Amino acid sequence: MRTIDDFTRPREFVSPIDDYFGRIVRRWADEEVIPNRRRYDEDWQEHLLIEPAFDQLMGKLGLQRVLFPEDLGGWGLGHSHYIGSASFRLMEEVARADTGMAVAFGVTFWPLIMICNEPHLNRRLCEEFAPLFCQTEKAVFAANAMTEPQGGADIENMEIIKGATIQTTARLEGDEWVINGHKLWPTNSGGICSLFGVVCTTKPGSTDLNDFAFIFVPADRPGVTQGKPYQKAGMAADKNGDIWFDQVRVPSHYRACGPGDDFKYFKEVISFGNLGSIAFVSGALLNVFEIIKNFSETNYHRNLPLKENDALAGVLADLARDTEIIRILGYQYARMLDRPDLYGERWNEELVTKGRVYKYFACDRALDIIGKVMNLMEASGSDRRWDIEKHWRDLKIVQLWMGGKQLCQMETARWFYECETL
Amino acid sequence: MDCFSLIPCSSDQPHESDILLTQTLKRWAETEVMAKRLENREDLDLLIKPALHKLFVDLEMQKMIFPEQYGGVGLNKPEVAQTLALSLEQIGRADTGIGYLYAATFALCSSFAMDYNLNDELCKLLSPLFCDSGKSAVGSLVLPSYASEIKTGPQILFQGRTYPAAAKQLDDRLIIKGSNLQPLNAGCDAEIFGIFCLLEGSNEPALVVIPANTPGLSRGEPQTRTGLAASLNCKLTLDQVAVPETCLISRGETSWQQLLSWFYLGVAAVTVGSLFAAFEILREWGENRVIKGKNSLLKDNPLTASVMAEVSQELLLDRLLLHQLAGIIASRSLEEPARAKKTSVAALSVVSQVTHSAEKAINQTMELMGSAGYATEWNLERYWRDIKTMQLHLGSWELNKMDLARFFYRSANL
Ligand SMILES: Cc1cc2nc3c(=O)[nH]c(=O)nc-3n(C[C@H](O)[C@H](O)[C@H](O)COP(=O)(O)OP(=O)(O)OC[C@H]3O[C@@H](n4cnc5c(N)ncnc54)[C@H](O)[C@@H]3O)c2cc1C
Repeated sequence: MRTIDDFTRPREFVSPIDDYFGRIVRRWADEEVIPNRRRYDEDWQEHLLIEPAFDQLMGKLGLQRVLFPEDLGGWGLGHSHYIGSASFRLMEEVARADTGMAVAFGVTFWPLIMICNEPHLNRRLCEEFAPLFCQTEKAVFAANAMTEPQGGADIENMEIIKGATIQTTARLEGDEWVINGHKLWPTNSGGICSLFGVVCTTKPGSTDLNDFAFIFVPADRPGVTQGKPYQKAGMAADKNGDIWFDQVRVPSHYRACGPGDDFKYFKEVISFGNLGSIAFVSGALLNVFEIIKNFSETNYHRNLPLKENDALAGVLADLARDTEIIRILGYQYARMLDRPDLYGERWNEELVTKGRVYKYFACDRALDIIGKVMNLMEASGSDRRWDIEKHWRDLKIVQLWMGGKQLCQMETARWFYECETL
Repeated sequence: MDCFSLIPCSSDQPHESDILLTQTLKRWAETEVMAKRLENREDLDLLIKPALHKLFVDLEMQKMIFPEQYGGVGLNKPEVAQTLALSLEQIGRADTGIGYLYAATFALCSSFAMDYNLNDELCKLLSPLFCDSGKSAVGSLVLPSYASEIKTGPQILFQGRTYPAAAKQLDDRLIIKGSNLQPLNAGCDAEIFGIFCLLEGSNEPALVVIPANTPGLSRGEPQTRTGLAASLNCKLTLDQVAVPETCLISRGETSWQQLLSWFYLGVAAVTVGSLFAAFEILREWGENRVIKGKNSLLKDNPLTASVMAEVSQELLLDRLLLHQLAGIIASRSLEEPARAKKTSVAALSVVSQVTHSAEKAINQTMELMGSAGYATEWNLERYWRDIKTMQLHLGSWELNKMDLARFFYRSANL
């Protein structure tokens, strides 16, 4: 019987932990999440059902530790040469069960990339923050606070805007940063975050790359306020809300990499954001395949299983095609991030752009084909018992976040066609 | 500015009475639904039920099609198609789910209350419910679909699809049985069901109306769906349900084609109305959202403006198609069997086109609004879910295309 494991995973790319942790996360997904996920939408505020599953994955299985160096209790993924492919697999397995959980899980590492990855490992900050994540069996969440009320895309449009629209300010007073500003939408906000990585400017309006600052702010610092989570179309397992920073003081060494380097390495964060997005799409598609295979074998037209109808089989084929291609694409990008010797640094413009290319291709294809698969299921496509509509709702935001589709298009055009004014 | 005035619908000026009705419905939409949306979201008790009551009962929409002699408004000539399209645009703008309920209810009543198929006995039986009860009355449809199991022995199918139930004539009664029936809407709260059955004996298709309180009709657990929260759906079981012979609305394919044509017209109109709402939200967003850090409004950026243009183009073309279809139906094209068939094919094509194009346009609208489009607060994502859900309830597009192929190419084996 064909299963999701018959979709190609390029064998020469897989990381040493791929199979082992892949299996563990698959079991967790099948036992802890898939039987309950239908009730997650109603749990969007409280997370009474969702939280124990997070505790299991991130705390008890320990996956929230993976990025930190081994001697600090982590698994050393940050300095490995398979961080891309290993994280692709992990995210994909979680997303197969629930994209919202995959996002919350993945985003916990997002700001930590700034300090845990070679060659810009910040040992002092790793030592300071590792215990928070590595010495507990409870899920601990971090957030990457970029988006502001006036717009998210502009902040991510780094090559052109260069941080000039950032309104959240960081002012050095003695050996402390004083942070003021209003962020909204970060994954893992809405009250659950323990550690924020905050995108700030040291000089509002400036396009000097040295003024772009990435500063860590523990959520319990005086002056940090987290608003309630927003209600959304999907992604119930991800809480998003407002965060206000009002004269928040943190030590000066909480700046991740320093002037110029914060800007440079933040582009690596963007690359990993795109990789994660493709993994979320790939994982969701794998599960859509499982669902529709079951549906098309247990519903009948002209007394034959639906999959035996030529017209319906055409749609099923398109789903398999897109899943296969997106997965291969995701692994290819993962490998490109893993092999700077072959593809260049993860923060270079080419790799950031190619991440955007693959991400918006994957999102557009996935949403289109899932829409068609839902249609094939007739009314059952919208019936929450089949879970397919959940993937459709959840994935829509993967297409919209990180600056949205148009930013992906502009960055792609800019790089490939060497445009100068976009 | 009234966005409807930006998008033409047909070359003809609407009737004075239609203008008055759409104005009333617009007021209803804005005061009863849209003004309360932020606070009450999709809450059935706080928002939907009071708005539905106001629309169906106070504004008399549920008796629109019933002849005057039965207490109705008497709009039971095919010319009402234009009125229906204009009305459902307004209702769909307010709430897709309420519009969908009205479209299904109207379509069901159109199978026995139109001047070309007027069934006095049924009107007499059902008019107290719709015209006199002071309560909102919703009709629900159950149509052929996939089968949930393989059957042994010869199969009688309807255009390849499985009949949801079988009816048998016994003296002056009809006995209907079926399990696992999936209504298109309102399984839990409809007052009457229009069920498409196989008539045993003659093996013809038949449309039967069953009041919800008939013994033997039982409802399953409420289902949760992506959208269309205005009604609760559930599966039905018909265990030897007996109804008077009067409840056999019609036999044969023509009445099926007539009913579907009205239903498709209604769904297309609701879709256009919902897309209007999305268009209004996008216009406001485009006026205010600054991108590219240079005080450039979204509507003035060439890339985003081109996507916005596509959204308005889809809306315009959908609206033109909708009103063209209304015009065809209004020209009494459903009366005679050969024309009814052609009209139903046109209606299927139009509703498929409109729902698919609306899906594309609202997806694009979401894309332009970033996270705001995804947040419940901005009210767009609800239309996105509703439009998709409604499209799914029209049946699989792949199989619907077989209906078109059978008609246009005389494909005999599909
Ligand atoms: C579930 C979820 C999780 C999220 N997680 C995070 C997170 O972890 N951290 C975080 O900081 N934010 C997060 N966000 C916010 C998200 O990344 C932003 O909303 C997104 O980047 C878009 O920003 P915006 O909504 O402000 O839209 P805008 O930036 O205002 O963009 C609006 C539209 O304009 C287009 N546009 C923008 N710039 C250009 C241009 N130069 N040319 C042409 N078109 C353009 C966009 O494509 C979009 O269509 C999350 C949001 C959600 C819903």
